[in-house]
Amino acid sequence: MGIRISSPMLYEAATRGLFQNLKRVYEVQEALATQKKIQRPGDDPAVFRRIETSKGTKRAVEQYRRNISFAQDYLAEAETSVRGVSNLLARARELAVQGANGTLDAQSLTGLASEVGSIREQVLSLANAQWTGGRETGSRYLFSGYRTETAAFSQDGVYQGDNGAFSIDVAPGERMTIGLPGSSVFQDDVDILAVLDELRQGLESADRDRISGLLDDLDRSILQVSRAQAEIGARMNRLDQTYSRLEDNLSYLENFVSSAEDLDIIEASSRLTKYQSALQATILAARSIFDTMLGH
Amino acid sequence: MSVVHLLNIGRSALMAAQFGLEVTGNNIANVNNPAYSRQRVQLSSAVVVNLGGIPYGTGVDIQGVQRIHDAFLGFQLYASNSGVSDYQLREQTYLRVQSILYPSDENHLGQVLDEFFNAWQDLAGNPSGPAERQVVLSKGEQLASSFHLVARSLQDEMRYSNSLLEGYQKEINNLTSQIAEINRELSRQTGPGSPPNDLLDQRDALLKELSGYLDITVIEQDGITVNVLAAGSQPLVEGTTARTLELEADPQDNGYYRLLVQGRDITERIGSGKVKAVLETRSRIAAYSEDLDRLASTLAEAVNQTHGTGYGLDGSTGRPFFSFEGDHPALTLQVAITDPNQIAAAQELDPDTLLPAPGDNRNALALAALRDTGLLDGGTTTLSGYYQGLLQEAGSDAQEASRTADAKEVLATSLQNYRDGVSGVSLEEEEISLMKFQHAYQAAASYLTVVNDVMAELFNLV
Repeated sequence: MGIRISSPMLYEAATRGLFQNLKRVYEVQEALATQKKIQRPGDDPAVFRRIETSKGTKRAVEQYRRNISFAQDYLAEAETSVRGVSNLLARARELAVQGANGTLDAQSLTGLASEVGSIREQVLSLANAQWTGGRETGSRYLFSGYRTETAAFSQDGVYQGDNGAFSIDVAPGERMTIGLPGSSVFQDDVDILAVLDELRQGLESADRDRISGLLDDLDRSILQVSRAQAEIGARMNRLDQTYSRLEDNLSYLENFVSSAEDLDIIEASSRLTKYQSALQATILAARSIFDTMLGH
Repeated sequence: MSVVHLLNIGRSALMAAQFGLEVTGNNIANVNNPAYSRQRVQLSSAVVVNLGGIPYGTGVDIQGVQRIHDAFLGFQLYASNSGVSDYQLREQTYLRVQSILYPSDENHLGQVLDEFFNAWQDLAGNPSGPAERQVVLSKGEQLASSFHLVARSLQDEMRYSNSLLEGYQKEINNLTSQIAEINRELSRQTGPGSPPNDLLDQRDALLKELSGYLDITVIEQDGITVNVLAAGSQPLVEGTTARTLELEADPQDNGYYRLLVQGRDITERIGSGKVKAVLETRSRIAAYSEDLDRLASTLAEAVNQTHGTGYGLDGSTGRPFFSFEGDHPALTLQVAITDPNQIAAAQELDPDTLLPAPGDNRNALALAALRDTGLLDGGTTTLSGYYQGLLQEAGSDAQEASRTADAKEVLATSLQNYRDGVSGVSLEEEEISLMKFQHAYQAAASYLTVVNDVMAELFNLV
């Protein structure tokens, strides 16, 4: 005979088996309830840390995407304004060519002058465009630099903003200049509003030399605006690329987190079934052993 | 030999069988008494009388009752029990600590920390927005209160260690005085006859209970009394004297208790048991607390430094964003700004107005960038990286405690099985004993009937 088996041992073994199986059932149940393999740091400290780091990066990436949407909003608004200005300038150039070529009488020139005057007003209003920054309230001037609460240009065409071009974080360690101060869009090479003023005056005074002389300024104005358009386009592109890179990054992070912490539900359910039958078997075995043992 | 002699043999046989039944009954009665060691009747043949070269048996003598146990096993059990109690308590404590440091997936310090910096990112998008400013303030306050909650709960855990130790001290002193009392009983009862098995069982049970609190060394004296040493060498029980375990608040260590016996500080020398678990987890929690304080003060100082160089919408500058008290940064962290306009999102003042441009977001960007700046461990670790490091550390402690507890339980189970194998009552065995003694009793009774008949015949002859 090997080990002597006493009654307490049988009771103990039955109880222990019961608790072991109960514990397993409980653990699978907890996992099934949270659908997670890892419930707390102690379940697997190193993997837990990687999961938490990834979740932190995910939160940051989501913020960068918010920042990018915000910047895209701004640039879209700016693009609309600048495109409008570009169209208006093209029309102003047409008018200047007409005015310069000498076939029109003074009355027609006055008509052209008043159209240029209206173009100038429209350009001014586009330069003073406001936006809400994707928010419900509080509109800001697009082209005033940091002075977002001041109209970019006065009625007289004086720039009232500053040279600040705001930046935004678009990716980890990647800061991008977004803001387009009016000083660079409308006054960089040529002062567009001033050119339009001069054109109107030239047309009003039927000064053909002056009008011809402005054609070059108008061309440079158009060039200046299209440079701004190109810059906006380039920034939009870069934002799009960054956004899709973040998208990839995010789906990679989500995949990693999910593979690291998500429970294989089918596998867990089958484990639950297994532990439950083990539990039942333990109870049955204990009952039949004690029945046989006592025999009465 | 006389006929009376026949009667005596029968009497001793009846007595032995009856005593056997008694001991068997006692074994059965104690089957579920975990402290009980099964007992066995020891019989020997009575004096043999030699008459004319012929040996005459005189029946059976009851020698005593043997307590079946393995003394050496007892000592192993105590050591194993100390270890199991130690690591089970650590496991429970670390489980609580983990939920303090990481209450849930959706709600923990790391999350709030990220949200705080995200609020600065949003502010950079709209530096003059009252809503964005308000969010920065409220995220700052949320962050401060997350720090408070974790710090306070850790502090509560450490304070709880004192009340645990008070409870353990009472239990330990109670146990040692009972053990000393049993020693006294035992030394009084020495002499011929069976040893007082019940007292021995009782003392073993007390020693086992005591071993749950701290690691003990049990030394048998003169085969009867035992001395109990704690922490390797400090006597807790010397014969019939119990030494009181005392607690002393340590003013150097937040008033946490140290343990003394006869004026000697044994705190550092306790190697196992629940007391060790309390001391060990207490010092680990103190380390987590320190880490948390370092995190809070680093955050506050870095944010304050950047914030102080910027300008609020009202032109204010040099204002700290957070405030805290030097000794307990995590517990006292507060947002020091009350007016959202004083949040310094701008970097520059307009010399004409002496106010910053409302769209100047450069300081907000600088502040948001602190999220990814190595501020700790010599510039290698970010704030959230440090928090994750803290979680990993607590996780490793928890994992180690849980694994060790499992391993110690396995060992304890096999020792307990061995003990129960040697000393535990087997009902089957006792059933057989019952039959054995019943048969012996019946046979002795038949024998006496025969002797009775024989004597009657003899008297008839006379």
